[in-house]
Amino acid sequence: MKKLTPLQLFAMLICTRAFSMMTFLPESTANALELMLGTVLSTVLQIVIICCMAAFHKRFPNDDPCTLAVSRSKWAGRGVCTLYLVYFLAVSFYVIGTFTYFMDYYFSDYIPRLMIVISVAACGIYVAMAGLGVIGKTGTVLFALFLLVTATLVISSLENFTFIDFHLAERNVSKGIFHSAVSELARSSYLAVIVFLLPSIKGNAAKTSVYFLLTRLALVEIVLGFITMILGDYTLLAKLPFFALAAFSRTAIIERYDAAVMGVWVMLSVYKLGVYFHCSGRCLRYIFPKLGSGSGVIITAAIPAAVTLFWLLPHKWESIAYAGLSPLPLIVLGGVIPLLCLIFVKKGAKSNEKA
Amino acid sequence: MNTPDFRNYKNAEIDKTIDAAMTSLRTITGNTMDLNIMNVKICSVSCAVVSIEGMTSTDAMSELIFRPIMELSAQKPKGNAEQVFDFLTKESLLAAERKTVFNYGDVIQFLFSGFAVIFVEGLSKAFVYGIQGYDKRSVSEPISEQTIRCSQDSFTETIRTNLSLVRRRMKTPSLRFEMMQIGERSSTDVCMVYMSDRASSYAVDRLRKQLKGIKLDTVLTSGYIEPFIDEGFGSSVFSQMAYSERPDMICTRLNQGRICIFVDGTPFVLICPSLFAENFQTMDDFAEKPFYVTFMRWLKYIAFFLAVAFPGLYVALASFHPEVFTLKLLLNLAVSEESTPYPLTVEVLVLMLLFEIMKEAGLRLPKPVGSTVSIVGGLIIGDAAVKSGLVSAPLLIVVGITATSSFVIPSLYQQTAILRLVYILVGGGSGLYGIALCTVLLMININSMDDLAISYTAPVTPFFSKGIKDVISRRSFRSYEKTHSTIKEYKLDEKGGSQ
Repeated sequence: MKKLTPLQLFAMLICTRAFSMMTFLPESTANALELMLGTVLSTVLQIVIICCMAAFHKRFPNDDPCTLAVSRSKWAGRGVCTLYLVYFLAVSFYVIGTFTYFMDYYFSDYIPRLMIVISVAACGIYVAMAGLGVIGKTGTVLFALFLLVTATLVISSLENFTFIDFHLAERNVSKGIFHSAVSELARSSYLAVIVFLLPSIKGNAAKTSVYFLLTRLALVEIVLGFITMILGDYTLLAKLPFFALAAFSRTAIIERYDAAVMGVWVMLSVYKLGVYFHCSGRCLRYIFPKLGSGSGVIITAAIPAAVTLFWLLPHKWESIAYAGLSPLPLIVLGGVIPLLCLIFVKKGAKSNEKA
Repeated sequence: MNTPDFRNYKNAEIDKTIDAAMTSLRTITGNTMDLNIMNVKICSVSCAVVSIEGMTSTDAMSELIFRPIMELSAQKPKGNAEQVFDFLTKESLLAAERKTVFNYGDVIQFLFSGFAVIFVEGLSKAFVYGIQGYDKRSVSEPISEQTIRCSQDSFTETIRTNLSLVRRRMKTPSLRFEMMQIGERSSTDVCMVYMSDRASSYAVDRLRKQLKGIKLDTVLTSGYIEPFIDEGFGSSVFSQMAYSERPDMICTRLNQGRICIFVDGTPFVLICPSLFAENFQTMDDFAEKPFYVTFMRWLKYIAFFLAVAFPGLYVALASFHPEVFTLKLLLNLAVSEESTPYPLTVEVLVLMLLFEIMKEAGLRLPKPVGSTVSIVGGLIIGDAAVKSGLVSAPLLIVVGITATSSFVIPSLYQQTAILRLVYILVGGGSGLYGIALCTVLLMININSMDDLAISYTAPVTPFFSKGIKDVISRRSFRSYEKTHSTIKEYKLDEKGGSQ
C-alpha cells in the first residue's frame, strides 16, 4: 500500500477541511468573534485528541485501531471496524447531501438532484479507487488551488475592509464560544481519518497533524475574519458566507467570483468524498476480507448516495443540514478507542508490529 | 536431415556441403529473386558468397571480399577448407563487422541486415561480413523539434547512424548500448541506451525484461513497443514515454538518468520515463538567458491551459455563469451571439472539429497543397462563417487563440485535442460544475501515473524542492555545476511515497 508523505497528509486534511469551511453554515446565536474564539478552543480540544492518537501510534506504529482490534479478536475487530465504517458512511452521506442541496439551491437548478448525486458519487469512487498515494498527490494540487482562490477573494475585496463589523460587546460570550467550539469539533471528522490512516503515514503523523491543526486554525480565522470585516452583519444571515464573499469580490476583468469558487468547491467535495469512500472501503474490507478493493469502495459509495436521495428528492435536506452535529462519535473514534487500545492491548500482542 | 524451410530454420545447423547449404537457403527464402549466390573457388576449395541484392555495397564487396580472396588464391593455389576459413577469419583485413555463425537463423538475420555470408565446402559454419550498402536518408534538420541556437541535426531511420550521433556527443564509457531484436518476422534492431552511473538499475532491468517479452510479428516504429513498456498506456490520458528526434535532447535525458530506446526504421527515440513538466522544456532553454526561459516556460503553461480549457470555459461561462463577465463584455457577447442560429456549444464544437479536419488535411497532403488548405480553411471558411451569421466573431477569436496555443506544446497535441472537446461538451452540458468534475478526474488520472517508480507529476507532486526550480524557472549552469540532479531522486519507495 502506498504511504502518504507529511506534506500529502497535510494537504489532504486541509482539502477535506476546506470543503467544510466553504460549506460553513453559521448558527444564528453566535457572532463572528465567538466563532473565531470557539475555533481556538476547539483546536485545543483537538490537540488533546491528537495526543491520544500520538501515544497510540508510538506504541503500535504499524497499526490503526481497526487492524489492531482485528488482530486481537475477530469479533472485537469487527465491532471497531463497524464503528469507523458507520462514521465514514455518515460523513459521506452528509457531504453528498450538503453538496447536492447547495449545488441545486444556489448554482445549478438546471441539473436534477439525482444526476448531481450520481455524478459526484461516481467521481468520488474514481478518486477512492486511485489509491491513497494518488489521493495524497492530488491533495497538494487542490490545496494550492484553494489557497489561490482564497487569496484572490481576500485581495479583491480589500477595498471594503473594516473593523467596525466585529461586535465586541456581547452577553454570554462564554456560552457562545463553548457552543461554537463544540460545533467546530463536530465538524472535525478528519480526526477519525488521521487515526484510521496512521499506518499509511510516513514520518511523524502527530507532528504533521498538529501543524495541520494550526494551519487550519489560521485559515479559518482569516476567512472568518475577512468575511465579517467585509460583509459585516450579513455574514450571519447568508447561507454560505464564503460564497457571499465570492459574489461580493470583483476586479476589473471579473465581475464576481462565486462561479470560480463554486468550481473549486466541487473539486474539494469530490476529493473529500474520495477520501471517505477510500476509508470506508478499507473498513469494509477489514470486516469482509474476501471483498475486492474496488467492490468495497463501490458498495460504501452506493450506500450513502442512495440514502441521501431519501432526503434530497422530497426536499427535506434542510432538516439535516441545520441540525446540530454531535462531537461525541468523533471523540470516541479519535480519542477513546485509541486510549482503550493503549489500556487493554499489550504491546506486541498479536499486533502487526513484527512487520 | 530434412531441408529446413521458413517455419523451422532458426536453429537448423548449416549444411556441410555447399550444394546442400545453398538448397537450404533457397528453400528457406523461397528462392527469392534478390538472393544473390556467387560460387567461387578459393585455393581450390569450393565456396559460396551469398548476399541480398540492393542491401550490400558492390564496391565494398569487391574491395573487402573478392580482392583478398583472389590474392590468396594466387598465393596458395592449393589448400583445405579449414585453412581457407582461418585465412578469412584471422588473416585477411576484411570488413570491420564480422562474425562466425553456425545456424541458418543467424545467417538469415545477417543476410537481411545487409551482410555478405561466405560458406566453405566441408564446414558446417559460415562467415558474415558487414558490407551494408543500402540507401539511407542522410542526417538532416529536425522537423518536429526545431530550435534556434542548438544543433541542427536529427536522427534518421538507420539505428547505427543514430547511435553514432549520441556516442559522438557523450564520450563516456558509462554510456551503454544494449542491442536486441524484436519482432518474430521483422527482427527489428532495438537498442536500449542508458548511462550506467545515472540510470536506476531497477528501471534498466525492468525495461530490458519488458522489451524482451514483446512477441509482436513486426516492429516498424517505436509506437509498436510503447504499449508494452508504458504501464498506463491504456488507462491514462497522458503518456510517460516521450519522443525526440534530436540527439542533443537524448543526451540531456540520458545524463538525467533516463533510458532511451532506439528502434531501427524510426527517427524518433523513446525516452523513459518522462515527466509532465518536461513537455514545456526545449533544448533552446539551455541556450537562452534564464529570465527569458522562465518567461517562455510560463507562457507555455498558459498556452496549455488555453489549449485545453479555454473554449470549454467560454461555453460554460457564457451559457451558465454570465454574471462572471463585466457588463460591457457581457453586452458585446450577447449582441454577437444573438444573431447566430445554433447554441453556443454546437458552434464551438463544429468550429473545433473543422479546425481538426483542416489540420489533418494540411498535415497529410503534400506541402504546397497543405498551405492551400490552411488558406481555404482559415480565411475563406472563417470569414464566410462570420459574415453569413453562422458563428459569432468572438467565438472565432476563442477558436483562434485555442488553435494557436495548441501548437505551442506539440508533444501534448493529442491530449489537448481530445481534452478540449471533452471540456466543451461538459462545459456546454453542465457549466463549471462539469468542468470542475472533469478537472478532478484529470488530476487523479495524471497523478496515477508512476511508471518505473517515477511519478509523472514529479517534482510538483510528490514535492521535491530541488527539482521544482526547473519547473517554475530554469536553473543556472552554476547551479547545475554544484548539483547535478537525475531522475533517480524522484524515485518512489516501495510503499509508493516519495523518498
